[in-house]
Amino acid sequence: MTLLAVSGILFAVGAIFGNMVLIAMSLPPFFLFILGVLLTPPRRITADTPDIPKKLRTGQEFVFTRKVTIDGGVGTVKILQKLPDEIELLAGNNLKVLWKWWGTETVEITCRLRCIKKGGLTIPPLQWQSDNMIGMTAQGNAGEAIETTVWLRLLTPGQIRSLPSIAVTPFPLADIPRVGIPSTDFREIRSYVSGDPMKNINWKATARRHTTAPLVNEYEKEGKKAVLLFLDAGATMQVGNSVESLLEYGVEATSNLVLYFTARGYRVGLAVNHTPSLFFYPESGQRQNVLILPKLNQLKPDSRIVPLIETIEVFRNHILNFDPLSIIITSLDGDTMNSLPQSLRKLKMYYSRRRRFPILMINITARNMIPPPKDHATNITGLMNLRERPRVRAINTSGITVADWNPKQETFRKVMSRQVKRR
Amino acid sequence: MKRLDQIIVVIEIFLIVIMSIIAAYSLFGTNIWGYLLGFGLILIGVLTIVWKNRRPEIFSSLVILSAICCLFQHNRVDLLADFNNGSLPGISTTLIEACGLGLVTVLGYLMLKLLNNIQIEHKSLVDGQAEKEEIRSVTRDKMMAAAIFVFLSGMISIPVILLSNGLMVGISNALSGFSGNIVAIGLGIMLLLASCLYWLGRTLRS
Repeated sequence: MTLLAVSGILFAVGAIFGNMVLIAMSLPPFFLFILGVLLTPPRRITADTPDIPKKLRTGQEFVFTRKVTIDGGVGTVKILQKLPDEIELLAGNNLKVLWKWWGTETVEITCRLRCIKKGGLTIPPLQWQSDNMIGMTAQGNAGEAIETTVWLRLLTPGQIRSLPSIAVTPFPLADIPRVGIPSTDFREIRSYVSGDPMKNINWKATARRHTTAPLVNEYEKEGKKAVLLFLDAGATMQVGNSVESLLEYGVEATSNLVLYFTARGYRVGLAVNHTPSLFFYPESGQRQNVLILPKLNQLKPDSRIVPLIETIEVFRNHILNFDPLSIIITSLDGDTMNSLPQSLRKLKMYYSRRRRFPILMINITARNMIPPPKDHATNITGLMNLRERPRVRAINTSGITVADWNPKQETFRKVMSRQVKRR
Repeated sequence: MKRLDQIIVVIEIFLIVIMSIIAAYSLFGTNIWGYLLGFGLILIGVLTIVWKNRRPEIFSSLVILSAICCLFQHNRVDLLADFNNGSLPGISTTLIEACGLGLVTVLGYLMLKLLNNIQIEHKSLVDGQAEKEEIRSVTRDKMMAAAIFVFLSGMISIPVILLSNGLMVGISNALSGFSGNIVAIGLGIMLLLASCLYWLGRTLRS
């Protein structure tokens, strides 16, 4: 519009004064404007929709290529493929700029990408903007959005093996369950109690003993012990950024534990202090994986704080009756309100008094997520370490096993390997 | 990339110098005031356009204002007859020379404006982390297109000016015999033109 204004002013003054020179001067801006109007910015821009796997894993790399066809108009074309937060650009560029003369032009946007965060993933349509010489612009989208899901990196079965011996930690690798269907493996002979089936009475043994109460054969029960997982998804775990947070690592640890225990026949239950609440009562089999893992994959940080203690209360009866292994996935670094000891006390109350409770706490450390300090006065990581050490010691002495996991330094597989270590 | 930036700056300085010299010469000729004015215009042009990277409107307005006395010598409607006893400062030029002076001034302004846009876009692309090779290619092509567009607009204007010159003589002869107020006619034309421009702007926007 500036061109038209300049042309108009020169022409008007020229017309008033009858000045041929000023009228002549008004013509080039006018003709430049007309040329700009005739040669519009490119508007017909189309893009294809590439095929990418429907199921990706965190850390997986893939190549994303979009072929763009530009037709009509003359001018600069800027093409931008926006990338969601769950994706990291490794190579290539998601922005392309070109000047288009007459005719049709075809370009390709190629990027090497890596999935860095779990959850649903939507790669939006291509955005384009074009402008011509005099600043007329056009913009729009091309191609279609691509939907896929990024799953957590899970341990493959057999990566952590166990040998029959005394466990260092209360991992129930060789424990037997209290409930379940009796198998054909003989376990012991014991006195008859009300409710025992008649077919299990060992008549010969009863006759030899000369006792009034008959003796019955006890068989090993099928299935294994129950494991209860408590994932802390409250304020404690909201340390980090949108890509890397304690909750993300907590979900990774929980998913791997679910996969690990279900693969070995344990009955696995899960409670997450999230809004809405997320509870899965202990069940065995692959069905639990199908139920739990997609829900964990979609778990997002929750702004409303639900204390961990409330989720422990949900499994009260189960803990009292079946004495399961409880695993709490949380972080002492993020527990600024010091609410964790209260939750642990509550959990311990439901177990019978013994030297060591079957409770394991996976403590995810956040120290390495904080940028390294520049001077000693702001050495937050060091201060966090100093603050945490006595708390870990206190939890350990109270009979709860604490397993530290620093995601920046080791994989969760290593932590798991440490826990199943035998004497 | 740096080199293309430097080429744009060199072209801008060249245009500023040419426009300033022509404007200063048209007003004062080759005397000391002419040199001073020329130097002042170059300084303003370099400071505003090259150094501060502002739009070239201020500099171009000053150039046109400097050359306006020379251009007003070719008024057919003598509204400035009472001003300075009818004699305007500035060197005397023929109509063709004055048209040449006017065209150089306005084409220079257009080129400076387009180069300024290219510079702004170049900077935004560099900030936006586009590929260096793509930025270089786009800037080069855009500079070429700017030169072609400005040249074409100048070339189209020349035959139109020559044709309308004859028409202007006829119109001014007709107007000289008209008894009405010439200022009112001029304002009427201006309003008509403004209405046309407004309509054109609305149509393009829709």
